[in-house]
Amino acid sequence: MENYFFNSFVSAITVVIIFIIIWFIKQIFNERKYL
Amino acid sequence: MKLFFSKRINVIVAVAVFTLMVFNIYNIINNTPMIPDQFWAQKIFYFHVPIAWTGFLSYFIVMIAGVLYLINKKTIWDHLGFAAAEIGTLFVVLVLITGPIWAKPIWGTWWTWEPRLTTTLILFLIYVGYFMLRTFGGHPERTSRYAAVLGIVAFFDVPIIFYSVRFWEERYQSHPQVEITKQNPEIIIPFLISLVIFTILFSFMLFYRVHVLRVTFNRKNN
Repeated sequence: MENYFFNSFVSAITVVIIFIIIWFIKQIFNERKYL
Repeated sequence: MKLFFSKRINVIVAVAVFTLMVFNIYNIINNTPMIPDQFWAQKIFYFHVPIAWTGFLSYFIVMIAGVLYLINKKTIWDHLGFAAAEIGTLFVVLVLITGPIWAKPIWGTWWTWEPRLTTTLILFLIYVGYFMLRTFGGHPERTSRYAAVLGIVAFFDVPIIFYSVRFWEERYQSHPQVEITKQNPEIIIPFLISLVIFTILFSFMLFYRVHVLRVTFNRKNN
């Protein structure tokens, strides 16, 4: 059961990190496109 | 205009924010107590709630920027409102993803139509409408004006989400109603650290997004 909870925690933190990294990459590309 | 990261100060701030976030994750993993019955799943709380807070702070900024834009029609308020709306929606999406990831092992279901979840989903859907308006609104000045009004109206859902655990009867509630001030310092301190770090991350993202919107605007209008 503890493993199941650990997987939830890892999934949640991974989603947060990936979304924020994608956001930054998108901004870098957008900025370069218009500068 | 120059690239955002061509300024040394912006690079220094970015590195500082990144370091703080790494420290925050380390702190959540290693320095927070294991709660019986929930174990690791409870640790989701240390970033789920700060992300929700920054999302709502973001929508508050959309409202303020909307009011200022309607008063003096300066483009900077329009850019600030748009940037805050985007980042706020990113954070609300993260809340709507991390919440069900916590709920599945604890409640046994991903989603339930209880007041706080439903009102948060409504807020997200209002902002889907906001972005549709921004994309398909037609005349840019009119779109900005309508978006400012929608941003102001949408914010009324935030206090409803906050007080939803009190507005509706207890039998409809399943969202945890934790009074943070009554918690053990072992929980409060990492929670507050996480709250501050996510707010710093949000401020940096907002600053960067406004810069990108200004670059885009200048290119399209010159």
